[in-house]
Amino acid sequence: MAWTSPSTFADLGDVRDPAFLNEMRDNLAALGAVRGDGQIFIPAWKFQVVSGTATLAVVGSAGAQTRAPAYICTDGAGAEFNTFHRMRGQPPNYNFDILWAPSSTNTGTARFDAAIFGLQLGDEIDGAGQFSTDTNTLSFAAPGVVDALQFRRPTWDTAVNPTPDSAVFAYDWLRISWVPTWLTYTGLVHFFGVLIGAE
Amino acid sequence: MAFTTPRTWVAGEPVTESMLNEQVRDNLLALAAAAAPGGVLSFMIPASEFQAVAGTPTFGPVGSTALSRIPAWAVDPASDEAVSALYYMPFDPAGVTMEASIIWAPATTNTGNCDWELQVADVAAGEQIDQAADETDSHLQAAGGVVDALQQTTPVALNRTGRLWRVVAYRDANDAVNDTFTGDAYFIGVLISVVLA
Repeated sequence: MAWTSPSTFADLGDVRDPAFLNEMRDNLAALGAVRGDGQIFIPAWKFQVVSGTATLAVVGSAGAQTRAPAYICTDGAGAEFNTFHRMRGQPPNYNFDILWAPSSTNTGTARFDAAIFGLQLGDEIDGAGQFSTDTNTLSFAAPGVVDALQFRRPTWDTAVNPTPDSAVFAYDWLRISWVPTWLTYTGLVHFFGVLIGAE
Repeated sequence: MAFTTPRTWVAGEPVTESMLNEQVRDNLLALAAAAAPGGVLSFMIPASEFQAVAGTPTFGPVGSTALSRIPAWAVDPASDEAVSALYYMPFDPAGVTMEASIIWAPATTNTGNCDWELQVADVAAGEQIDQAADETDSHLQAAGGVVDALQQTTPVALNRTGRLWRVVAYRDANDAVNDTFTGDAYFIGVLISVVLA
């Protein structure tokens, strides 16, 4: 919706003028279209490798200027990435997606384990915190297309922990951990980052 | 334009045109000023979010005074060098015109032109991360002759529909006809702004 500079009300008759009201509608719509919806992308470079082997580099095979930054996970046994993130405001529910792409056409199964720890001031940064998830695992088939971007959401083990929506997001500080491994998938995993989105 | 706390209207209250101008016109202008270029809906993707994708640019603090230095990529005049970042738009950009420019500074007093190119691709789930750029813009800009002087390339309009953008900034140094600036160029980041008008 296009934005126009708001008209000046010359008299109260303008209040009943549909042109004025619709101009107001269009301007509110234009501003509404650019409001944030709480989605936050944490790119790969904000994570640190805390175990296993992975290299921060650029990936893509179509030419230098089409490459994008990612961690290249070179070890099938897995690499663990951690980051520390401060939430800004607490919408009631969030989703987490991991963004990755395969480096080969293999269609085997890969696996991601996710863990989120909600912390508050005074908690030990490397402790269990107020909330943690253990192996919230997602196993999935690689798409068979090199460099095809995948958004994957872990399945939270509600039998062991409450869903992250119900507990972890009461906390401002999050320690986020992802562990990609591969089961029958035989290729490198390119890890681009994590997307946090309001439901 | 200052933002006035929205008024609570009560039954029987006489409404004047000046009240409407304050409550409607001026508040809309204030919100728009916050969103438009220079406002809160301008996004800087700093150099630290980029990785080298072509040539051998070097990342580190630049500037002549130690404690005044800032992080940047130094791209040299000898050969093509490029850097790449992934950026996620904080709102759905479909139907919203954005504009983007490169923020940089020259490392020498040479006044030749730097040949910058900005390439943007939006990549959706299932699409290949290395797909061709959706938008490419080239700009020649004179270095200006003042070492470390902040420069901004002419903003170029972007009309993208996806939220995850691959942003590549590229110095076309191999084009000796156009890239006549003989020093390193410090790439400081890419500025993206909402265009409301």
